[in-house]
Amino acid sequence: MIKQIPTREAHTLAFLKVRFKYSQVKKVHDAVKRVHKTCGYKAKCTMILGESNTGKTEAVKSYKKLFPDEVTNEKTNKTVLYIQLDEKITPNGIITLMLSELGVNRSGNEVVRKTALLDLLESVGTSLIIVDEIQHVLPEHGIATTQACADFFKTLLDKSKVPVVFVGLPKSMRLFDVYMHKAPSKNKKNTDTHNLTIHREQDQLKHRALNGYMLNPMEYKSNSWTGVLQQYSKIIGIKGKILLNPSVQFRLWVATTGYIGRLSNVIEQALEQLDSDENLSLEHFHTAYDIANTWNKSSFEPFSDNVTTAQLNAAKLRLIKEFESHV
Amino acid sequence: MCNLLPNRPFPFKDESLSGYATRLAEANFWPNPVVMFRDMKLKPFASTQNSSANLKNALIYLSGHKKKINAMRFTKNLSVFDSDIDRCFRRIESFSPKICVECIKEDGYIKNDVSFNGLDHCLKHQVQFLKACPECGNKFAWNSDLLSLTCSHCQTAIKQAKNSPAPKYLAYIYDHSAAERIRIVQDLFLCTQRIIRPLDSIIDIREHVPEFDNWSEILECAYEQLNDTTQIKKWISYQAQHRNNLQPIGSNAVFLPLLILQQSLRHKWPIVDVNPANVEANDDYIPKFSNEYPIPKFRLVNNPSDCLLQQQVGTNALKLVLGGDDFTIWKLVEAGIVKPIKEVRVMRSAIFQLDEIVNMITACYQKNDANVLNRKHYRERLPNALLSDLDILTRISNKKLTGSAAKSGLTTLDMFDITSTCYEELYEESIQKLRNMTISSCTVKTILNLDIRELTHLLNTGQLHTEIINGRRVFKGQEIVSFMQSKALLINQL
Repeated sequence: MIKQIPTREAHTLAFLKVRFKYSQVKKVHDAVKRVHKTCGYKAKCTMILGESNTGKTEAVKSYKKLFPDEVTNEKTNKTVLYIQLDEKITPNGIITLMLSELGVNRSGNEVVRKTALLDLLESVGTSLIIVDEIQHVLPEHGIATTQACADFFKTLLDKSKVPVVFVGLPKSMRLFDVYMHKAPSKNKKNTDTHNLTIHREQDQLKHRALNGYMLNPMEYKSNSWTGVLQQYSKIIGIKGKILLNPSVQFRLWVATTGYIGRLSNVIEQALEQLDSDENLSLEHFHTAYDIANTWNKSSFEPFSDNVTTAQLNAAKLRLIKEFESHV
Repeated sequence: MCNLLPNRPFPFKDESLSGYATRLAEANFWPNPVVMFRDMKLKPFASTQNSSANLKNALIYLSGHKKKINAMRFTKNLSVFDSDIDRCFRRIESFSPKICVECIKEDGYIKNDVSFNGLDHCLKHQVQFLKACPECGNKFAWNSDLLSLTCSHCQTAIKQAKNSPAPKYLAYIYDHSAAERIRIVQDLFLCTQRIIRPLDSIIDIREHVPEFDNWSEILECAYEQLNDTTQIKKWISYQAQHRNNLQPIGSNAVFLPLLILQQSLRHKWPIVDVNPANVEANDDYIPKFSNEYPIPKFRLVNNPSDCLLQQQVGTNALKLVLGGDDFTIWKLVEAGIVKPIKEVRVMRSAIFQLDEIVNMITACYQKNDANVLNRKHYRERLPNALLSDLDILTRISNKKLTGSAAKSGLTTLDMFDITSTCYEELYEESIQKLRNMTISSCTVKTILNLDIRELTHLLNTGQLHTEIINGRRVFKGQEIVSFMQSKALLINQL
């Protein structure tokens, strides 16, 4: 007998596929739009930052969807070029990724490939480049590659006149201050002064940047939080009515600390527990939290029937404190 | 990564495939299609060019223009000949670019017509296509510089060649319909073989036309040779003089280059109606190009001497020379009586030396005058004694038959008049064998030259009888010989 490959429930898939704009996404779009305008003359770059699970990638991808690829018989126009960097990537690797996204492979030295990339960007009408996972170019052991990548993006901005949006973890800001973060050398004297001098000469990428947007976890009872839950309830329909319950909203916030990615994961798993004639309940969330929770190591169970409001409040205060100390 | 290139210009109907590949490469910022094919992980451009189907598929893969590429004229043009073994080339496409500067200026692409060897003349602008830079002399390669009319070697602008009137053959080709054009071009290329080596009987069978600068001039000569009766006669008389040593094995051997050409032509040319017997000796014919043309390696290895190439024949042509059928030739080769120059796997690819056959035949000629039988006289009676051409040729090779040369004859067998006594001995020997045999009805029909109704009549009227041996109905040899004697069918009764 052929075994059937396990798949998600239809209602879970429907939930995952729906996209909507909430206030933070709108702010990301505004920040991206600000640099998108600069295409063609004095192109700028910006950073969209945020911790993991804050919805950075979804936010920029939703912007890209506003400008879909125009495929005609003679041409493919890519208004927005989106690439996701691999770990330990070099400028040559970035060129390969961009060319591959444009539909070509190119051999030859870096200069030849870069020239081809610039020509292709112009010919396919690219007006914005989104570079995701930019933290992969950060210096973990040395700064040479990071500086090379920063220089590459600077040249790309100047020559192609196409603005660039960097998306990554908050530490990605270090791309703009490469030499500031170099480990002090033991052999050379006056290293700090030397580094600062180079920094002033080299940090030209920073001078071409606009302030971006930092995606933070949503605060409890904020408009974002309630708005998102209302939208989710609307998507799920009558089965998701429980999401409008303030107590459940509070428990969900304590469980996910306001991270939209975590919230989506918990709801997804809860929906997977659901039978066709059932509505979402605390019991479903309890099981879903057990499956989805990879972020909270404490044994605290926010969806348990035995948890009191006082305990939830205490957990909330503890989480806020942890977040602030982390920031 | 999607396989479609970002920029995909449409191909033109009359555009050359390699030219389109160059344009596609240029639109996507590659210097040439060679690099594009390598970067896109396709088979090398040079090897893809060898097959237009492969090149077409690669371009469809890159551009997605399936309908337009399939509609390009190359599928219906002159490029593909059928795989007939008598054709000298299967494809006449040229893989190196040739351009008409004015055409590129007007259209912006390289036309399909340009890609054919020999047909390299722009009828529209009355110029010969350029194959190399007029400034530096370097041959053109498929690259984007070509479309901007700049030499990739010396970076100078490519200038139009001087006006020259179109060759006659080209005008003749384009005066005919598309279907007829293929036949004309095939015939012209076949005839070029006789222009390059006028006395050679073998056709250079290759997949592609070898790169050779003089194709246009050779084709012009071929056109004359097929059309101009004076030129044809000069060639025939040249053959008669230079292949005279083959006369002992028949006039077919002497005029074999002409015969092969006449038999293989598909278009109606005047050369077909010319009879070599009516041509007078004349030595005006001057062979051209022989020294420059690249001879296939196989033949060069086996023929260090240039003149030997004149006396060689293929298997099909050997049949014309000897006068037997396919089975006879095959048996002669199998018995080692006729030896190919080199053992080959496919019999039809074998090459034979006519000199050896001449030596074999002339060795059997007797010096004193004796009564001889001409083939016309004994041929009809051969089946009566279950003899065939193969038996005759085998005995000649074993020197068991003597004879003398006939005054004229088309084939080797026609030229060999057998001494009467020799033939009678052979015949008697064969009849004796026949007496002791049991013969099937099929063989009886051959021996007596009867059809099935006539044989049935003989059986019904009791003139012949059959026996059943091992479940098969057979005739006794003795009865058949007696029947032939009664009907005066044997040779000594003639």
